Amino acid sequence: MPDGEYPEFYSFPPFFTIQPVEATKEKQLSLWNELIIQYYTIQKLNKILIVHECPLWYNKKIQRKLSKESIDIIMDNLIKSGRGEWIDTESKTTCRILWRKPEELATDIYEWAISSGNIAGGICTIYELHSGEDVHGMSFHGIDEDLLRRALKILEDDGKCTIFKGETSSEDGIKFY
Amino acid sequence: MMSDEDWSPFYCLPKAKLTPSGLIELDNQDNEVLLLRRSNIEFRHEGPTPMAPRPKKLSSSLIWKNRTSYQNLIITITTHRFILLYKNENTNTNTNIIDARFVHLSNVKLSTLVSKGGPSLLSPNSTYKIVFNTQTYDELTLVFRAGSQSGPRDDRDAAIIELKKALERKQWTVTARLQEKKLQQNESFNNSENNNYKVGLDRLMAKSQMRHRNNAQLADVALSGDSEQLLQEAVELLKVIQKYTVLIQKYEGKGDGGGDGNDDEAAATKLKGLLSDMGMTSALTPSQMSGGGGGGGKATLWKSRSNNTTTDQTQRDYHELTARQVADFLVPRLRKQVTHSGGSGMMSLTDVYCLFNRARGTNLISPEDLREACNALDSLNVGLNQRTFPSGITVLQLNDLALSAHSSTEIRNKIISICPITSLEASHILKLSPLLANEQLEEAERLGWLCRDINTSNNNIKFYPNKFITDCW
Repeated sequence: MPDGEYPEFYSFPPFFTIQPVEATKEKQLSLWNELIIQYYTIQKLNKILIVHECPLWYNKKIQRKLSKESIDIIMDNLIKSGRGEWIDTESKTTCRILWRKPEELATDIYEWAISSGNIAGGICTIYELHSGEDVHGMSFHGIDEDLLRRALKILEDDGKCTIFKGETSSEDGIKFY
Repeated sequence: MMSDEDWSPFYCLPKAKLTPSGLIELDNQDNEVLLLRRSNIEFRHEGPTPMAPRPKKLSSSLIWKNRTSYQNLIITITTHRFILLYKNENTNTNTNIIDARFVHLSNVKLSTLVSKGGPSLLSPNSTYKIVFNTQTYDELTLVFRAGSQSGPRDDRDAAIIELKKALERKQWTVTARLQEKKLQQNESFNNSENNNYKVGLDRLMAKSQMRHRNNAQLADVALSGDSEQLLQEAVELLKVIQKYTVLIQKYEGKGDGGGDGNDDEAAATKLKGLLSDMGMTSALTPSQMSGGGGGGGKATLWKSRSNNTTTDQTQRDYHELTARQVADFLVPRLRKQVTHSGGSGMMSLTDVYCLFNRARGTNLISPEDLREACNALDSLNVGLNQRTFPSGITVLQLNDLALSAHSSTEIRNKIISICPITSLEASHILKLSPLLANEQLEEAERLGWLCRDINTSNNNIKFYPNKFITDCW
């Protein structure tokens, strides 16, 4: 994320100290969530946060760095709020950022399916859903395949789509109703 | 409160002036000194006619009662007056009404002062009394009821001794006499023949010689009396010291120039102001207060505390009195600090202890007594309260300047405006010790006004305005 795009609070020094007063801390942690999600969505990469590599913890401009304990608190809060989940639950080094929760993604996908006419009985592939030309700008564009499958599972459970096995996993087909 | 419906001896006495915290205000100008305080007093009058003034609100049912219905008056004897104090403590409404009335000792006829009463064969329940005649009120009676640990008899005896001493000494006439003497001296000096040919430095020398002589006299008198007299003479001695200081300043500043009396007086007044600012004129020990015999009053109080409810009351009285003294002493100082240098209206208990005892000079109070007194502060509504911070530091602070959710925006903005700031920097601005400054900042943080930044490189804590809450990010 270019310098100018960092929110104002990122250069507020107390932002890097976990606040001892509960009400203030709550607000602070929610700002951290916001920042992490924003950063990893703009990155549009795989939305995977590797704890010891995350550049957000250190703001060189104001010379402030989060302590190890602070990072733990922020990560715990992120997971608790449902915006992240550990890929390795044991060692807790890698976290998937859920900038949309699976339920929200499911809704997004279904809305896209309606508006793009896929509802009329056409079948699209998993690959098309996360990397296809039709989904540019959609919330699930570039999304992690696991997550996409979780969202589709929700839709399937609701009876809004069916998933067909393809030759490879990314060729699995989806039919919306 | 004494109602207008109540036409009794107490009502007819003039009101005594009280300090803002409800202590009796002594006439410092006239060197009035507290001598004794006893509780549970009843006040009676005996004479051919009721005492004046008659209450204005005249209802037909109003009849003169020659004794006041309140039997728990507190008597305070000073060198000039005896003051009766009525306290209405209503714990329900948290009001604390104090009514104090006095009789000037010049009104009391010493020759008629006698102690009466006490159980006898004929009247086993007779109370201990002091009876005396006055110039304007006919005969008055002070009845001593079981009030203190030492018993009403000792109370009565102690009181009559102090009253007699004060009446014999006639302290209220001393200042007037002194002034008169001074006037005469000045006149005699100005009229003396020597004066005619002594000018300039010579004249100054003669004048200072004269002063030396007077001061030597004063020192003689002061040191010859008993210790109590000494305490009173100390005030005079203080003046002498002040004079010397002024004299020194004058000579240093002006060389042999003609020192006129005006400078002298102005400087002396200023110095006196400074000195009286530091000190208080009188302070009673627990024993003078409660009637524990002689010195070591504190020790006896401690011993009997657990098994004697009367003593508990005395103890509480003493602490309340001390609390009021502390308030009288501290509130103006804190206010001054706030207006002059932007202080935050608080002082740590240890500082209070040092300054307060410094001001008392003699009759120092113990740390326990101060703690107890400060515990009593909150209920007295004297504008000062005690606060213990989570770290365990206890301070006394002005009620209206205390940080709280109800604080005015002014107080809130004041502390926000100095941010970002470390507690050390804040200690300069808030005129507090770094420890207290830190407490103050943390208090503001708890209230959500500030937030902190710990610089991991040097572990410095800096406080910032709490933009998390205010800036709607």
